[in-house]
Amino acid sequence: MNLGIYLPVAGTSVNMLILFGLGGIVGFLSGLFGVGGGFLLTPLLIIIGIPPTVAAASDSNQIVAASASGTYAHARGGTVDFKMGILLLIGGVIGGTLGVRLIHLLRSTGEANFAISVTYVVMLGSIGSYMFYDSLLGLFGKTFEKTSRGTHSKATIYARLLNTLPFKMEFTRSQVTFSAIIPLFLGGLVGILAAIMGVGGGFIMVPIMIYILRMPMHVVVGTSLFQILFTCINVTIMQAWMNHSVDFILALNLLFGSVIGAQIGTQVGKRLKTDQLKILLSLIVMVVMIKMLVDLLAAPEILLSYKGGH
Amino acid sequence: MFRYPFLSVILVAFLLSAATTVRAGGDPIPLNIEPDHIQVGFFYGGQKISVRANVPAGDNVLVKVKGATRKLDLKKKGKVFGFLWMNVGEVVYEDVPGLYIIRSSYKLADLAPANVLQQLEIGYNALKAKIVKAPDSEAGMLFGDLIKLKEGEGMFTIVEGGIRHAPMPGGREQVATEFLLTPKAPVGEYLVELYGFKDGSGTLLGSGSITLEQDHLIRFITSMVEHHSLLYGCLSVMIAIVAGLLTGVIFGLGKGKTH
Repeated sequence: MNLGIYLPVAGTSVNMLILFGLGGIVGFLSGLFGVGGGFLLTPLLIIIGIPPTVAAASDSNQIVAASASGTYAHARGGTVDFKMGILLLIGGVIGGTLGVRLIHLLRSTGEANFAISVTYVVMLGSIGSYMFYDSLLGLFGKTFEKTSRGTHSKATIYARLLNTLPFKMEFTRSQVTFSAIIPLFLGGLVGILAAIMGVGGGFIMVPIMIYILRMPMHVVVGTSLFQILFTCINVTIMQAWMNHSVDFILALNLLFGSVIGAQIGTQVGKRLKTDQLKILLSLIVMVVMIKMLVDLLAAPEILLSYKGGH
Repeated sequence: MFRYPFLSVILVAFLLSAATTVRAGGDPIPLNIEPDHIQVGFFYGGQKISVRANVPAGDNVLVKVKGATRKLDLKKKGKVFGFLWMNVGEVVYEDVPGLYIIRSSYKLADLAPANVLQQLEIGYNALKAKIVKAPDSEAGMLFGDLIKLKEGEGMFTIVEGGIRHAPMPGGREQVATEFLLTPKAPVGEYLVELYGFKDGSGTLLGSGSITLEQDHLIRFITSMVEHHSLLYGCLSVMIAIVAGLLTGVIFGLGKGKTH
């Protein structure tokens, strides 16, 4: 039985079961951790022979489906902080626009590739190792959240900053109160990094929500998915319109797996403890970081590659 | 002719050089290419193609399949700070064939001298001589990597000894070979040429073509992508949202309210 499917924009044929499986794995991670999974799926698509530009753009299209599915599941469970999500989204759009301009500037100076690679390794390495360390502490009964909430009450610089900023808002779902400037600023920061790295930014946003905004883990996942949904809608339309690089047939095959994976991930996530979720995500982030580091340090087999991609 | 001795020498030299390359051809030999017309639909996963012909007995033969040539802009990896491998520049190749497949009776080097193969554009050395203007240039140094890249995609293959010979009555024999047209091969026309080699000289025995074209549905999608890209992007997003929500509803119905 021929299970190959021809992808008109990618211009190649791929086994449908492989696409279904890849979509399922990434959808599962998306539902479990609230990450879009672009940082994982795009390299995997390139490995199976999809051109880099088409892989990145079509990946965004399938994340729309997975995050819509995940957001719906979380919204039903009351674990989406829409107020926080909208503020982060506004910040993300502004930051993303600035990031695109920044990368354009770096490209003109010839430093873009270096900036992208170093940002990837530093961000993934620091986020992954910090989450891993904190989750280990948590599993042994001494969580960062407990210690940091303790220091928070002793009026740290960070806490004083939170209190002095104007436009205070109460985020009921997240059980936190601080200035609207904080999520706008952090959303903007993630938007800049996401634009430089060419990904949705979920794997940066999730740790920021946990450690800086101090939101509960289950609200973090739902809110992150809500934000990713709108970011990826924007990216998909822009990529289709400006670069003609969205392969809908590829996205459709991936999303069959990913929407089911996202639902399973959401259900599994509810059965896991926060520290167990964090330690799993930190391990995945560190594996991707190590892979990128090896790519940077090991001599490549072929010195030439096609243009495009991240 | 003897009034112009210099021109005469050039003419004789040219005729001698041509004699080592191309033998007297005679009538072109028809090639049986199956299939020679391929429709690319949703379930297209590449196509196995067979080429058959009846040739004079004793000839060593070679089949060359070549796609249209185009300019290729590639990224080049190099070391930064002495230890980081990163994209450090671009390499441009002109006139790179989209597809380059060779099947031959024997090793290319045993068929004819290098200059003959080069004139007939047979083998990677001949391809390099055509594509790379300055062998010492960066493009020349990295030509081996270009071949590895193309071979990895299945767009370039050379199989020495990939042709079967079967004797036929009347001093002729049937030659046959197969190759896979990879799904990565772009739509268009591919030229198939059959060469015969004897005593170090080569001749084009016959040629044919393979046409690869999209079916109506694939053509409709690619036309949407190219000419109605904003609408295509919006539709892609809408379908993705509907698919995502629908799955969410289906899963939600099975489990009731999640909290």
